[in-house]
Amino acid sequence: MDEKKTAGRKQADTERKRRGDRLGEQLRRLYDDVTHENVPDDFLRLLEEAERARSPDKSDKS
Amino acid sequence: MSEPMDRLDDATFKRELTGLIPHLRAFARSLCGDAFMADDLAQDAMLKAWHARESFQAGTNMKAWAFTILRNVFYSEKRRSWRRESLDPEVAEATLVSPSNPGDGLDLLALRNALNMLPEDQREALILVGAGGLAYEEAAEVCGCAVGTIKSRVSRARKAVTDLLESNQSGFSSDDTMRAAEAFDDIMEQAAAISAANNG
Repeated sequence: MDEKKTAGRKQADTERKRRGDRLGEQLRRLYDDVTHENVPDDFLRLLEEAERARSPDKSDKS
Repeated sequence: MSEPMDRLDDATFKRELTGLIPHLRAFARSLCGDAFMADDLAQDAMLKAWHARESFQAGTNMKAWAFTILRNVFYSEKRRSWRRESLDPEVAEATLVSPSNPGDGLDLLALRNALNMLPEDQREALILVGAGGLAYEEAAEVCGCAVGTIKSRVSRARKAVTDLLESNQSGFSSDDTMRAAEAFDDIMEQAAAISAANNG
């Protein structure tokens, strides 16, 4: 009967692990749905502008 | 470690930061729950990171560093406007359901709903570690807390999400028919809400 209990627990553990793996996979998919989107042009434009605003002269400390 | 801080030159920094934009957008969306506000937040964080580039130490994880900035912006300044009370169903549909594979979309929609029910600290810990690929130590740095705290948040979040999906959506049961049916009901409820709002 102990064997039966152990088997039951093992099965529960396996099931828990399976669900955990599945959760991880779905979390990554939710996240990667966004990372795989094309980056809107705004981002690159803003970064270019920020860089240009600074590059002509590096007058950080006047 | 006695050397002064290594810095990246601007061109290298810019290239690496550009490569991180997709991650900033993804992390921002998990915090905001709204694609448009999330991009606003991600842009703000990107510019703040650019201006703070002199404080970035070469050789350390720029993703964790940039996430810290993004998270600070979110919690300090515009949190109220960036975080909606609940997920806008229209936005959820537009941003989460991939048209090529509707079955996937329903699953992910259920997961997103479950994530939205978590306390914020648990949700962000689970996203950072479970999806963003940060180590516990890095996530702890981003959130400004102890590693043990992150570990326990992640573990509580995993349990809560799994329980929610099983009890509410049958999300992780092996009964696919049941899962699809319940998710479908969920969609129909949202559709009803949208049309009620439009007619009102």
